[in-house]
Amino acid sequence: MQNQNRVVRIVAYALILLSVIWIAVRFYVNKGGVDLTPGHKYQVTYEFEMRGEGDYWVNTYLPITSPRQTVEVISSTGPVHGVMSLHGENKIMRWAGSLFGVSTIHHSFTHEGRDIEFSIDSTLQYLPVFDLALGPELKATEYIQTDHPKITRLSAELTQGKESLLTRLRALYDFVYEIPAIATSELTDALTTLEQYEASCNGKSRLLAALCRNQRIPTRLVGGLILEEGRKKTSHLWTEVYVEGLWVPMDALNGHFASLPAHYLELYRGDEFLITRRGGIEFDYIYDIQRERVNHYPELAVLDLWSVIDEADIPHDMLQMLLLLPLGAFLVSVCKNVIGVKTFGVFLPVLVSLALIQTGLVSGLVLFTSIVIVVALFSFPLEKWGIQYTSKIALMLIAVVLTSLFGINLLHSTQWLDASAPLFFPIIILTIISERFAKKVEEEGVKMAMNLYIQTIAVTLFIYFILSSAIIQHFVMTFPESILTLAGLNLLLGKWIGLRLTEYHRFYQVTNA
Amino acid sequence: MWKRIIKTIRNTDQQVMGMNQRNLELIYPNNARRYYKYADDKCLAKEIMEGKGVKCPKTYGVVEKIGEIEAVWQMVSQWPMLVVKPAKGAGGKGILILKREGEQWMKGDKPISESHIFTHIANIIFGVFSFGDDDRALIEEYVVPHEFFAEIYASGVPDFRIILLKGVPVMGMLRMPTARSGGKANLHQGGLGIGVDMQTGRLKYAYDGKQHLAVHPDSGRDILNKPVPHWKELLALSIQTALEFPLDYLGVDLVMDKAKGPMVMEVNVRPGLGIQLANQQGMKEALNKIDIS
Repeated sequence: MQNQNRVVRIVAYALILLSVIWIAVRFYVNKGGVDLTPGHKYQVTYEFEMRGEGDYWVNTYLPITSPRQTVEVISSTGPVHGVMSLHGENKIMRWAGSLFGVSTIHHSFTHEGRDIEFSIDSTLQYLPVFDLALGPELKATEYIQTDHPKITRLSAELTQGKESLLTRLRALYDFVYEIPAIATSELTDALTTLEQYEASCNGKSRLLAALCRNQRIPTRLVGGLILEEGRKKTSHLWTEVYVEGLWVPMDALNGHFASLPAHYLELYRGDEFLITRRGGIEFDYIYDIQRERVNHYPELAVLDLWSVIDEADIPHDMLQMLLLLPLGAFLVSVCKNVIGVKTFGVFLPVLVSLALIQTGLVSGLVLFTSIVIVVALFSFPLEKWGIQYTSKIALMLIAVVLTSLFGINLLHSTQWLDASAPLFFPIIILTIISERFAKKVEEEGVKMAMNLYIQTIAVTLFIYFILSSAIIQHFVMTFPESILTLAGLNLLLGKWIGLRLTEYHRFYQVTNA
Repeated sequence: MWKRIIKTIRNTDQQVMGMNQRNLELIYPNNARRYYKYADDKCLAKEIMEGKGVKCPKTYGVVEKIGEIEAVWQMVSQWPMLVVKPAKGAGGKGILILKREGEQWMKGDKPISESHIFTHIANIIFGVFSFGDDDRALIEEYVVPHEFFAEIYASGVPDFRIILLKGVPVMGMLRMPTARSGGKANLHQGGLGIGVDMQTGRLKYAYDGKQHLAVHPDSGRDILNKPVPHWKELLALSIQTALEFPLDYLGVDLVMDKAKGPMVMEVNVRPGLGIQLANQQGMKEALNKIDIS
């Protein structure tokens, strides 16, 4: 037996060491972006198509790397080379030439953004700004009618009695945010937005700028794209206000006050048009946006699951669940053999916690618990009437299905449960746990079964919190080698002969005699 | 205070056998899984015991199929008292104790009709008491508790549990019902576990799941230091059983009949660890004291 133990230990250490070293090597070899949180990186391609005969020119803005976005050009192809120039703070690309027939321009770059959030000091006093250097950001323009009486009146009304800059900005922002949003690509100016009391991003941004500038708070417009996988034509416009030397973003359409999400691609500042071109030729454009994996470590991967997902179109959820199973099972065996918690089976708590990830924590727990209670109540008459075991389980399944139907209905109507949540898997798990529960009720009574259920739920919650962590999920997907580490740990645990924590409590009286 | 806690933890570590160690060092290496059935199925266990001449309650009959119920019943109903039990039942479930008064069968104080008895036997065969597995109904001799037990507490059926490793007795206890346990002697169900000194055969303190008592909580009669009659015979019987079964680590459950003395009721491949609490002695310590060749 000693010999056998040594073999097990050697195999276990080999498994752990091998996989840990492998993971470390992959970390080392795959340089760049060692970030296990799900990041935002996109590849953006401008696709312009021109048709006709004659001279043409097309101007568009290119993004600039800043503290909140990193931009790298990948390629630029077209009938002629684009010419880049700086125009104030913006970078413009210009393609010009003569056209015969159809010509296309493709310009691709990657964008990696970061969420930013500002907190404006609430004690900061509002002071009108009269800085000449900020002239353009305070001025009225054709579309931002800062000095119009209606704007002036509204701006004064909204900010009345508000001493601090923060409360003033909030009041102006909130007013614009409340304006109903509509989807239109029409240019809407500040005044029209106010009069029609509905607008898209550009109208809202101009109105917010007009209201702020009226208070002599320097405000500028920022144009760009909201990045999401797909192809689109819609660009986006938001606002930045000047606070203590910093430009603070505000998106009164999508509700970002003093913050901006990572997937906002910033292209230009000012009230400009993203694309300008010479008339007389047919022109079409589209922005092609593809999400890229930030934490992709393809070098030396035993199995590059991310590419499997991308290429073979295998559902991400399914692979992820598969990979989380071994980790969950290991955690259960730690709970059982080291702590001494008792659960319904080894896999059940893992499966239940995976089911909870799908249903959501609260609604899942409500559903599980109500089903277990129904099963417990059912078991009394069935036991009393002496119903045969198999039939009893079949009857309890009917109770489970009925409870699920009512439960799901109830949870949907209270909106606790996402209507699209996939419930097939959770329901299967439910039927299994209720069978185990019913069996336990019969074997050892409701009290013992309830006790076991509570311990099972405690273990389930513990596993749920670990398995639902995005970092863990990404880790196992990126480094499936970690399964071998778990195999090694399981082997060691399987040979561990120490007392379980609960056994100290159970047996301390043995020696205290 | 901390010192005492650390000392208790260290002592517990050194003396007490936990579930992990029991499984890895006692059960797995000593009991091959293919032999578990001899312990889990009471009919198979009795076949071995009766075949090898181990003293046990006499088997009156075994019902394997529904169609056999009446024929077997004809054979066994001549006995004035009998016990019907599922071969694979656990925790005392499905056990029916029957007493005949003239032509009328009684279950406790209440009369029970033959058709009720047949239904019960059919339920056993259907697996009602053994989780859907097909089962057999075992009909055997009723063991009249020895008057020694009544000197402590007069109701229920107490039994002895002796744990043996490779045929050597390691620890023993007497399991005795209380008012709380409703006639059952199981520790989980509120019964008492009373440690037995293996050398002298005298009872130690009784453990009720919370504390150690010197007297029975219901009757108030003395337990501590009471000598167990036929102790040597109980030990010898447990050793004989251990040697006849292909299992090297097992718990032997023995009863003591008023007239016939000690008899083996059943054997267990996974005897519980609560016996350590009943004896106030760790099993590691007990194993150190015995000589296993």
